Amino acid sequence: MTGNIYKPHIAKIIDIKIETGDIKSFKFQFVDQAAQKEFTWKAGQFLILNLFGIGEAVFTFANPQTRNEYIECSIRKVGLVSEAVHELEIGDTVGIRGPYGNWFPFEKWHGKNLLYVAGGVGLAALRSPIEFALDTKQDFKNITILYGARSPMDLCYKDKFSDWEKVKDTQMILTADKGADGWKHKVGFVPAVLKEVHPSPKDTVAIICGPPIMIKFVLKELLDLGFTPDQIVTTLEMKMKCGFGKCGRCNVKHLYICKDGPVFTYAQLKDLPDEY
Amino acid sequence: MAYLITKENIKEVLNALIAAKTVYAPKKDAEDTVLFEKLVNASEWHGDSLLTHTTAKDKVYLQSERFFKIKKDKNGVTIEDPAEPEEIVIFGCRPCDARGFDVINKLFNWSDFVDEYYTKRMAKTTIITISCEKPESTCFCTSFAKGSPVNETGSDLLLTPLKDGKYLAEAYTEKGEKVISDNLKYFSEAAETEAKEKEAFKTASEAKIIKKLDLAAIKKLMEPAFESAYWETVHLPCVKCGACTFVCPTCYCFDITEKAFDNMNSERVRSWDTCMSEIFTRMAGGVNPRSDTKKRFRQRFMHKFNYHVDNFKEELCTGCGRCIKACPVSIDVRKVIEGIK
Amino acid sequence: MDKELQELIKKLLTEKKAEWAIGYEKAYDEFSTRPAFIIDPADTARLIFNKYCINNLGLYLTKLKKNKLAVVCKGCDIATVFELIREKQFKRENVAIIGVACEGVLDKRTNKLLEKCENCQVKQPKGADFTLGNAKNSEKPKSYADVVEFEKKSSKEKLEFWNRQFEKCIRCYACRNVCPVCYCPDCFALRSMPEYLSKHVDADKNKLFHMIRMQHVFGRCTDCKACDTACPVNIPLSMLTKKLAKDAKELFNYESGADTDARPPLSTYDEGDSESDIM
Repeated sequence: MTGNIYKPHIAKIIDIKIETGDIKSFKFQFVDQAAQKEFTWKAGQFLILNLFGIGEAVFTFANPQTRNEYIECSIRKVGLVSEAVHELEIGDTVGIRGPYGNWFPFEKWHGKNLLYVAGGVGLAALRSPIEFALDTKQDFKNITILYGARSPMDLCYKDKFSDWEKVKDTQMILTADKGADGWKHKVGFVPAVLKEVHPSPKDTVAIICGPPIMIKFVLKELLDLGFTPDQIVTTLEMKMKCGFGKCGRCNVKHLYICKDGPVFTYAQLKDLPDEY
Repeated sequence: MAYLITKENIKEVLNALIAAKTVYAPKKDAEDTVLFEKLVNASEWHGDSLLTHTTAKDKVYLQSERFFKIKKDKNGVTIEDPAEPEEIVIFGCRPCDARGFDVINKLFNWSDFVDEYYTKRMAKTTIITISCEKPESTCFCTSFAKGSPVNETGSDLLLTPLKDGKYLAEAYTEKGEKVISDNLKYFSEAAETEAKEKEAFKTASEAKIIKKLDLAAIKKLMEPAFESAYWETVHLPCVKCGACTFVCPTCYCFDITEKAFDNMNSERVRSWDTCMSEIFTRMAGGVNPRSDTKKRFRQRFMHKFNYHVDNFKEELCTGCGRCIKACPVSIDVRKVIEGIK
Repeated sequence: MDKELQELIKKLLTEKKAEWAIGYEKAYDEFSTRPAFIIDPADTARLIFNKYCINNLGLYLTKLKKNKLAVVCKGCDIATVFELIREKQFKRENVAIIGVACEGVLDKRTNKLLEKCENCQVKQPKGADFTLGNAKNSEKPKSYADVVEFEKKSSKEKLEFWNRQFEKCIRCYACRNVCPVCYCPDCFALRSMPEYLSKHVDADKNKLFHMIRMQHVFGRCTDCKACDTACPVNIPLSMLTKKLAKDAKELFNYESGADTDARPPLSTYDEGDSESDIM
């Protein structure tokens, strides 16, 4: 990496879409078109968004590298920067630096089944790896996506589901903790639905993301189903500032989530203390 | 080659350096605070104190550093890089402080990401160190593989006081050699007996350091001690200020924030941060993996003597003992890590 | 006195009159002590009291979530405990105050008697539940001569002096964190939404921090000097806290920590209130 590692690319917002009450998806494109063409990442990595005059914040790429004519982030309104992002309009200028962190090791998963389990906004972190796998479906066997949220209202990317399901040997299972009128899918917590679906661990990798309480019970179900810790992969979130292991805050033991993660197997995580 | 120089001539060299560059050296103020400050004349140099109250770290790794200026206008945004750093001299620091730079150099050059704000400034910094004659009760540099009151790590030029007010001057880098060659008339060649005198100085000085820790053994104790009940009580006196981290020659954690002047102009600033602060790891939305004070206290010691060793094969500490002195409740790092069970 | 102190605390813990006791123990050399937290009655042997016991242990009363505490207090520290009781941080009956007679404490940095110890009116503690030792209070009242002297300087001189001091400040927040009355869980200096104080460290921001802190502790600060002695770069914060004490006394005839039922000057209004600026 040469040059100033803290200096962002200047980008413009080319599209904004409201996903749920507090989540919007933004598409960004670099002002320098050549830089946009050269810019690439791997599903699972993250970027640091710059709001000039406000500050920086970390977001994961929502689109896969196979669709890199723009950069997309789904942003929940929770902090100083994300609140300000929600005020922006198409054509506004932001900065982007990255990509940072490791990625989902798809190259090791060729020929396997992929099981995605996501809860709530956790799907934002899995959209890029889901769409990457769908775009390179020839490399994988069956793809199952189990996604749940508190209510049907809280599901992100509702408009994507039909496209995803159209891909050969791909199955979507949706659930809501509480149903609603017209809800044709499952009702119940994600771990319970996972148990009911009963996926086989044979030749399968489970990729999970969601709130800590969901992760805890999903892990238990997966282990009960016979998944081994190295067949389970997740992505972690911690407060980050630099993105490359220098600012010192996102460590769990000697590992920096920004540099050695954010993607970890459960085999790695189970030996780490609960400090993330 | 080693040289000799008298204390009077050191001041001459110092004045020559002041004429050419910005020189920071220990200076004492009206409140008896000794800090590295910009010298106007060599007579301001205060060489009598063992340690300055804060380190010289902030001369290379600024406490608040402007990364760039941001200007918005109708055509978009322009990012204006800061001026290139100027050449500076840090004069009269101690071997523990100089070694502190060596330790954080590695961090700022770590992995594929080179921090140019630091490395460019470091490249333009000459470090002239003075060996310690009178280590204090808080000193423990000899606990470290490279630590000693005469150690040269991180220094460009090392001055060791010998008998009769003379100093042995040894250059370890081109920058150090240049200080000598530019001011050759003030130096004379040292004889072999004087190199031996330095050995005697080292032995005498090291003997004054009362505590030597077995850091390898301590690391072994730390590894399984994350969940130890020890942390429940040992942190209690700690008030969780950042004094220990801000006076440390190796603590490097930082925050990046934006300072807005108006709607169109702002600047991106990096400021030192401290793991003792509650907001250090608190995420937007309020979740905080190190929410309680015990966890933050543990992190500081674990980082310095365990995690950093895993990543860099050396401790994030040079044994200067400033944190012990600066701590408002006199917490002793040596006791904390030795007591781990 | 140490033996007596140890026995007393052993008794309080054994009889469950206190869950924890806070006292002093030796730190890294003969000139330093540090706070000691005692839970086990068999662990009292390390407790000491001497002229290096500089910390104001009242600090910990708001930090420990315990029902019954015993705390070793110099006469001046008792004012802090009373102030915290006045602020309803805990109930009087939940803290056993062990007053220790004190001939003054020394600054570990200079080995000199703290300025507050000259003309001390509470060498012999007042208002404690238990009192150990004997000391004779000063016959002279607390002197504000140094503040009066500083007040005579021109605005420019004052500004120059404080600018220099706040240039030294490294914003480690030691002053705030050792302050017994700075117990806000979410200090203004750390808030980001909205951000009151940028993390950027420079003399102006540092000055802003200290000025706001001083405003916050006016009428509550007991001029205990904890902030002053904690400062790693020797900023004479005690000049500010002493000015607060002087103004409270002169403008409002108020003394922090003297009365657990008092209303501090800035939380009451009286038509006769002074209108001069406290800063």
